[in-house]
Amino acid sequence: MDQELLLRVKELRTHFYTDAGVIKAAEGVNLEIRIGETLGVVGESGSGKSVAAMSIMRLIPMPPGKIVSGEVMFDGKDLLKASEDDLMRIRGNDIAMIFQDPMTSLNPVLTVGEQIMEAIMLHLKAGRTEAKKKAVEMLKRVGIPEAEVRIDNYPHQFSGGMRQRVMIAMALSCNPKLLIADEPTTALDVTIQAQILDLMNDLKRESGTAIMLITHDLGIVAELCQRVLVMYAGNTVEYTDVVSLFTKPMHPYTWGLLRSLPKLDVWAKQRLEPIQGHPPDLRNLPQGCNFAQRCNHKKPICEQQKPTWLEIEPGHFVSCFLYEEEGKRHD
Amino acid sequence: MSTNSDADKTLELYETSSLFLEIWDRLKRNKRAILGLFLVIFLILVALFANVIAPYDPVQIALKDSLKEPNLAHLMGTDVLGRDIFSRIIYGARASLIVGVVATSISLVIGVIIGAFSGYYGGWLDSLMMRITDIFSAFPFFLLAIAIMTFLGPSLLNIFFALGIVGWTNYARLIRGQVILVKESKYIEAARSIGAKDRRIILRHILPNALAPVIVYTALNIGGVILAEAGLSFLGLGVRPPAPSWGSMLAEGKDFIFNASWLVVWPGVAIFLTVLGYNLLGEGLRNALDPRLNLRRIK
Amino acid sequence: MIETKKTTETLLKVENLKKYFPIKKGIAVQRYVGDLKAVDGVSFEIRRGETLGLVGESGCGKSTIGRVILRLLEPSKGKVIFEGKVLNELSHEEMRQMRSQMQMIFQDSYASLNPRMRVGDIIAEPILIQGVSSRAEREKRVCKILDVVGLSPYHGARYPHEFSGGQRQRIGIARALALNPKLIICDEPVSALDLSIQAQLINLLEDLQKEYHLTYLFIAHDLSVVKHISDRVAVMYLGKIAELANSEELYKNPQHPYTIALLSAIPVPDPTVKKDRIILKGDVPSPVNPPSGCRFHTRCPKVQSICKEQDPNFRDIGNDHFVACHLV
Repeated sequence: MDQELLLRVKELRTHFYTDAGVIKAAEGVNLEIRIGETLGVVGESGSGKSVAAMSIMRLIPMPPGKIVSGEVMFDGKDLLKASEDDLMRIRGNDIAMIFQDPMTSLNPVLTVGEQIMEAIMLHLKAGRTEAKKKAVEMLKRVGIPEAEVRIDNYPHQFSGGMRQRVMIAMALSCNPKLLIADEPTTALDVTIQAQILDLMNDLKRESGTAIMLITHDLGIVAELCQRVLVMYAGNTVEYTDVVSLFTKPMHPYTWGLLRSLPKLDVWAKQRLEPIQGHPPDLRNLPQGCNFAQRCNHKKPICEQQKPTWLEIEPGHFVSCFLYEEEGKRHD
Repeated sequence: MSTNSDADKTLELYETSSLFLEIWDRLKRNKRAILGLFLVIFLILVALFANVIAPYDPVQIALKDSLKEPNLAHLMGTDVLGRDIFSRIIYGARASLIVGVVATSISLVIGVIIGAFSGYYGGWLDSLMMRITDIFSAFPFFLLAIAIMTFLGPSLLNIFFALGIVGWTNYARLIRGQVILVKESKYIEAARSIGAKDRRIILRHILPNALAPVIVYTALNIGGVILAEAGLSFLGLGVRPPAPSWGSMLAEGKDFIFNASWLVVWPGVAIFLTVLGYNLLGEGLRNALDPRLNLRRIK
Repeated sequence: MIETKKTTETLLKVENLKKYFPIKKGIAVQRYVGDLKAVDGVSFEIRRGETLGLVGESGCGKSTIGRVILRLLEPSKGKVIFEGKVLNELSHEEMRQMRSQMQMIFQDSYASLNPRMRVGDIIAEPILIQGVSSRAEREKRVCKILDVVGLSPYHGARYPHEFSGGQRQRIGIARALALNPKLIICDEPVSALDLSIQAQLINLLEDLQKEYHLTYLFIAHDLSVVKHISDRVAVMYLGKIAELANSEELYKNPQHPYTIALLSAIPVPDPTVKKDRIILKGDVPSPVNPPSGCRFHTRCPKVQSICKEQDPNFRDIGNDHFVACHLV
């Protein structure tokens, strides 16, 4: 099993130092991604899912940010200890990234072709003509019609969905081992989202790229991912395979999330069961479990101590005192 | 969620505070703004009480005291005609302040009226007014002021007019842009949807949100106008001698810069501190006037 | 699911509503080059006490409809009739007074709250405009409304930026409620919120509806939210309504190919379900030059030749189910 492991993040902590206090944006992130697997990272805004991804890439702006502690083992290397040169090789080559808003991540004054070719020439050490051939091929692969013509268009000449296709083409042009996709379809309409999800599924099957898919949509997780990581207020609270997450979720926050979901296949008019209250202020986290304030199952200990990250069942990790006695320590 | 003591504090604030107090509350946390405010208040006090503070008559010629180095009798020395520089600097503050405030007010009034009409009504009125603004701003600011002053001749009244007339274009542009921006915001739509009348929308929703940059710009601009006045006076186009002005003091002292450097150093320091004061205050106001800015800095 | 107070009495009726935005080009002299047909002939009614959901993708004109109903935008053609009064024929002053009966909740709660006003003043403003001049009376009502939407009186002293997204949306709801309106147009009220907060607000909206006998026009792009909250749902595509039916009927028995595709495109939060997804080809065409005939024909998987030539009628196929498709 371990030789399949592509990425392992352990106890990652990233803080931001601002005038208004220290924001503990990631405060104990643990996750594993195996080769060719898709990991869904779910959580609400401010749960630290994007910060975790940026920390893995070491793209956190410093200052005000700082990776305080942790370990990010990617393909046998600790990225947190790697030199800036090594990182440059890894970014784009081994790990690529796509974002929610493709317009802001594309340079508006360069044609999409030039931008894809730049990545190819840089990372695959290809010549111009070769790079252009490859770029056209990539655009075709992501389903852009008339790729030979469109390659000379500027980003604003593409629709939102097409732009996201361009981003995917760019990200996949160097055959990365890991693709980090941060809310790639959130800005898109449902029918366009369906196109992109379909495309990502196809590409994953063909290329065997592992994907870390950050999303707030549990539907997307269910359809695309093999494993799921649930985050809350900077912590990873649950990590398991996708079927277990939906059939036997363990963390009270996960229960709450699943219950607040409006369901399409339920006909009787029923009330949603939201999680009461609000996430804690990341500058002023509680002494105990970050979720304790909103948790219906809290015990006295939950407000005094932080729960540990435990493997309750093989491959099912939870950070919650409800399982502390029976769980075994994960080291 | 907030704690109870926090709640009590805010409730108290709600009952006792005015908008002014809140702005002050935010301003006083900014050290540089407080330094600016201190400099500006100091300048105002000096200008107001010039006759009390100044040990000598600023225009009294005493040729036997010509070009005295700073000493106990003349803290900043004397100029070529034996006038006390310290006293002249103090009276110069009065001229600078009056020019700064009056000329800026003229610019402000013209600019706000033109800018607000342009922005609010738009259409051909906007096009016409903005073209006029363009024509005015096509001339270099200082050159236009020089031209006007040359034409009208040096006097305090003419300086007001010259600096006021050349300065309004920036206000007009600023206000117009702000009004257009604010007019399109969702909370204006929300105000319309609850049935608010135009007058209420303009006074309660558009203006408070449009004026902040203007207040900031005004503070910065007073510094700029004072500098311009010094420039005009330096060229002999400003305050009519022998009335003291920092600019004309610089001009008179420039020939002695190597043998009697105090002639230029003190007016230079005075101009520098004044402009610095207004700039720091302006910048501080910018932060204090926007309740969102503190939040934005965190993100 | 049918509650007693829901009637078939019409509260608001929209007849053949059109809203075109002229497109002008040129720098010095503006030249008219065409229309953006945001809303192009839409008719529907909202019944007293119900929630009518209005779904569609971005640019389909759903938000424009809400604004035209409130006359925040003037319609290019057509009528909006509220309790028997034709709103477009009212004078500005009459319309201004009418606004107390119909309110709006905006998507972007941050942008729709004046950043320089305290929350208490924001909620008090409509009450003041309505003519309650006593400050004490206004404050009493503000406190009451704050409580109703789940906030505390001390929140009234704060500025909008001091609140989280969910709380801000509660403030927006409070402002809308302040005038005891009959109709509230909810323009994507929960789209920007996180799941757990979204559920809180949906419940709040449902509670308020029961307590104050409100009628909602619920505009959203999220079909599961719309299905949850609506009694009837209208699906819009490029400025027209494609299908309108009772919520359960629409989701169980969709007729229009667009509705079918839209429903199939929603990712289901259940990994054991593998469904056949209908992936629509291409993008939504521009509303400046909408396709001839049926507007959906360029992407429709079942397109026929008649679809390219004739615009289908929006007709009743029984069971209060309306569809605009030649094939039904």
